Amino acid sequence: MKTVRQRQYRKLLAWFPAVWRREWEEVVFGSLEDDADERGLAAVPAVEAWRLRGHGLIERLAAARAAVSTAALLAAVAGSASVFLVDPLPQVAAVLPALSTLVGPVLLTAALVGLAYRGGLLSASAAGFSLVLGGLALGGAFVAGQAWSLGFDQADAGRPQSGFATAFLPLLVTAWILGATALTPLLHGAFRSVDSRAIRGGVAVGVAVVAAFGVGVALISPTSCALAAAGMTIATVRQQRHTLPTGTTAAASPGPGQRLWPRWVRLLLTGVTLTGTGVSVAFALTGSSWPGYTGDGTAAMNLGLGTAAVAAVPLLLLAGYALRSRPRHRHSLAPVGAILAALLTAAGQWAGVNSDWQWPLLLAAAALIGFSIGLLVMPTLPVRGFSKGALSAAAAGTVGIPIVTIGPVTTPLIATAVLIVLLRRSRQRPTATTPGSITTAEV
Amino acid sequence: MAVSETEFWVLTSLGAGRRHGYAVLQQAGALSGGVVRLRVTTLYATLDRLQRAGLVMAAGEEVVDGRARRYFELTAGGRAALEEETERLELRARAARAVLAGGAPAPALRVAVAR
Repeated sequence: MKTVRQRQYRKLLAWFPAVWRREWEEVVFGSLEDDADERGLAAVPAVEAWRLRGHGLIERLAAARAAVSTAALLAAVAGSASVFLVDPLPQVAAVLPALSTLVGPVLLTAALVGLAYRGGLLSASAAGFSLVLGGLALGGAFVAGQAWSLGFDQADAGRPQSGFATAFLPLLVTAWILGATALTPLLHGAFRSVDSRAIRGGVAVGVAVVAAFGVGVALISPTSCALAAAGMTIATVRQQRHTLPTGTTAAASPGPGQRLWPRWVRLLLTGVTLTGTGVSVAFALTGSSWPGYTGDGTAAMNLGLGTAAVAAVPLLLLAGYALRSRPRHRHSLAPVGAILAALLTAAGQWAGVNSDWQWPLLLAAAALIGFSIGLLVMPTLPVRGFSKGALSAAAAGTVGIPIVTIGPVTTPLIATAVLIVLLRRSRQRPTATTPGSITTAEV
Repeated sequence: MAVSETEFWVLTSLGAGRRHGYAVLQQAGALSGGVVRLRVTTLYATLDRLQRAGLVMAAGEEVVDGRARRYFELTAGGRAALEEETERLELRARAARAVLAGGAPAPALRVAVAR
């Protein structure tokens, strides 16, 4: 029969992540019981209970650091997208920057703390301390930034500074002090080879005070935050790759005996795209001077790019057919999404720059093309669950808008490359081919 | 590689041979004369990290009075790391003692300390 203390310990150990519990719960529970017996405890003291909860949360953070850094990357990228939403969605555009200047930096800090804990630079309690103070410091930096911005606007308008605007300096100093305090345990752990505690502490505090400002500015800058988060995500994923069961990263091969469309169909589809996009792009760039066309340069650009997006559909069909044999249905869904994105792009371009529909249509196309790329990226990632979804979404969010913007222009180049590959492969193909030896690399 | 204080005491406790987790905790307290009092969760977090670093490995499990016990032992790398850390600490202790006794450190020590 379980005692009160045993039930308490079991409940407290539930604060730890499942992966940790599978490996350690039973032996840690046994040792906690041994320790409690030796101390003569009938129940878990409140301080110890809170310590266990905190330790469990830090373990969860360390276990989820790839997902957390990916979320930081997403937040930084999403915050930067506000630039594109100023006209169509001004309210959203006003709020979005907080994602890259507050949410992203806080998430990245949490991931870094998890990494430092996992690496032994921070104990669980020091990690909790750094996490809380780091979060407060970034919150203070965000508010200080708002105060500075308001003061700047007020000075620009020739108005006297409000109370909030004048609070910029005290807010900045507070954030700096909090940041330095959060950094100190980390640096104390990093300088472990210095034996003297006094010297180590002094050096850690000194470096933290100097470094906190630069670290804070780097964290709240969307570009450096996104780059750091991307780097950390990649490093963590590579680190975790070794711990996953084999086969999770292997892309499936096509089955034997798979048949592709006849060569002439593949050449025809590629040729249609190459010709259609080539002419469309030429029109987009020079259409205003074509005889018989009465529109201006912007209208020609919209018309040409829209037509180029439609002309890309045959090549996308070919890509979809080449991917059809993959066992996961999302491989087939990806080209379908890309074709819909192309049609939405065409609709957006044809709607014209003066239409209220242009940006929403192009954004929908960007989301769809990003989603399609996310589907293709997903099976290749050596992570699972939320991390996989988040990384796919990061890929989607990063590439969607650039592809919709420059995709129609670059499609002629892609079609040319595909055509060259098709012609070269057909020339190199051996006369006696074993059934099933054709790979999906062959479009 | 420099090891943290907690890692040093865990490695030292395992230096004499295979022990289960709670015995490591008790041994660390005894060897340090009661100065070091590891918490159970800190102990296992350290063991987990040392295992991943290849300095410690699990060496069997058993259940005693309904409580699971996992045994650990040093790997060759763990023993080397402990020896390296011990030499580092000895070198510094000798240098400090020599200076406190009013003499200069031996030439070999001077070179090593300068490094």
